Amino acid sequence: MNAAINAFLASAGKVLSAGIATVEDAVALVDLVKTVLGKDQPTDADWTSLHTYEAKQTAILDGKMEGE
Amino acid sequence: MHILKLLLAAAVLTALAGCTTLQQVVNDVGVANTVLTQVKAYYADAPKTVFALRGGYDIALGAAAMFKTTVCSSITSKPFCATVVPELRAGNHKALAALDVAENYVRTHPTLDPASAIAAAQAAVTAFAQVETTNGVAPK
Repeated sequence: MNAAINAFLASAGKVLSAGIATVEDAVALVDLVKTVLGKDQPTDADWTSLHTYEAKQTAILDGKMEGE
Repeated sequence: MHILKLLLAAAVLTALAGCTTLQQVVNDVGVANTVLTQVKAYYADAPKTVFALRGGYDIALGAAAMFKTTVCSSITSKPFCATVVPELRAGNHKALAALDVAENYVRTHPTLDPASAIAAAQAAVTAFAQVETTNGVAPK
């Protein structure tokens, strides 16, 4: 595995260890990027996986807080 | 040269191992963005570049969502969050829109130069990370 992927995994590991992202989501995200960097091109399914994750996190962020 | 930069970035990340405060984590997200910039240079492939940028952004987005879920649930954080969360929301929508443009560009025009679309997306991602870094500390 090259240094770029190692660096990315180290960064993602920091997010995991700090508990600011759910473990299963972050592990899946890291695995996905690692896989895509290692193949010819991202597939439609690869892109969709990112979109799905973003929709989930955006819904959390956009959800109304108390008092809004 | 790129490998050297990557190793340097990895060394910074390693030096930060064990950090658990939110401020340190959002700083790490900024470092992750730097690393992904190097991924772009290393692979020199437009779809992979945008995918790596988008994947890196998603880590930052996940951090923001978790910040809202945890920090903002505290009564003492509500005034702080009332300011910060709208900034994060606006930055997220701008970043996603820019990432959508870059993604659509590289997927539909694989032979054209995507530099401007990628640069715009990267600027929006960086701006979002900056909001996180600036506001990442717990309210005093």
